[in-house]
Amino acid sequence: MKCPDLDRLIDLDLGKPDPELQDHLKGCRSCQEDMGLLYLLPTAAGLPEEVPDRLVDSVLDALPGSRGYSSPPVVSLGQKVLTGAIGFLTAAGGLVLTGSPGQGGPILLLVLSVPVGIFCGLLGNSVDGETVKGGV
Amino acid sequence: MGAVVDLDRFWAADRAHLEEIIKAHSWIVLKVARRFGEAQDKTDDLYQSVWLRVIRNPRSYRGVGAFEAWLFLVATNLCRDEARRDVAERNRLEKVGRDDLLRDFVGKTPFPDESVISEERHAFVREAMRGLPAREAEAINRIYWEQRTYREAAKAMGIKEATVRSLVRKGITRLRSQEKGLEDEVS
Repeated sequence: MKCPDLDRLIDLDLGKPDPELQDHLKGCRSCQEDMGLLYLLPTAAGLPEEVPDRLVDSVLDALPGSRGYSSPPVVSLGQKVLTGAIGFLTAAGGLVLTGSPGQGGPILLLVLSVPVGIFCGLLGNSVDGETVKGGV
Repeated sequence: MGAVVDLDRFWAADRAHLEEIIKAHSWIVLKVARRFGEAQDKTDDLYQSVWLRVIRNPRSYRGVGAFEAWLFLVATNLCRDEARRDVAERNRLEKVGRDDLLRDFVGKTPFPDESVISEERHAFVREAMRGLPAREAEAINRIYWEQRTYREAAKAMGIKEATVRSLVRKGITRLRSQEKGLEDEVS
């Protein structure tokens, strides 16, 4: 396609889907430069304004080394094993109490309970610690 | 404008440097968050989410393009994603129709080749914006900085949508001409 007029580039930049133009942009340096100008406009046109301290502080508190920073929890192997064991015993106990293994006996009990124990052990490592303490 | 990003310190998540960056550029993030967050607490959440994303993925800024433009894109894309989720949720609950919002948020701004949004170019455009005729600068400001729709901008400026479009086009054409050192193309 030929290079589009400015209106079409503006429309694309403001969110109007235009797959043909997007394809064209990949190989056209001139249009890429025009799009670059549009990308720069928002912050070039904007003027700094006061930001409430509480907002800035809420982010600063999340920085490593801050009092409010919550680092991702480190889960030791022992803790994982313990969590897994608790999961296994809970599942096994529940099955025994409800009589679910039935004629399958201990083998079925193991088959049903071991995956629960493994799942619980892995679950102990899934906390991502992304909570921001002292939020706004 | 604002603190200059020292890439090595930024990538290393140097606390003192991050603090400078956050203080200097928070106005950009807050502006975007306010546009997309309807309520105060939502705005605050968006503001925090943007910065947390930046802090946790500092290497996603490669240092080629203007940091402010990059930050604006990160904030806009994250807030759009959040807004889209919110709208979908609200529609699912069949509360209110949000057609306008959905239309506004349909596009996800792609990241450009960073070489075309350099710091030098950003500084040039900022300076050139000051030399634009007032109405053209205002129209660009409302559409690009305030992220208003043409309809909203027209209402705020007391003119027709088509006139806003025309002012934006003329202003951008003028900026482009100045940058290329050409005679003013605007008729």
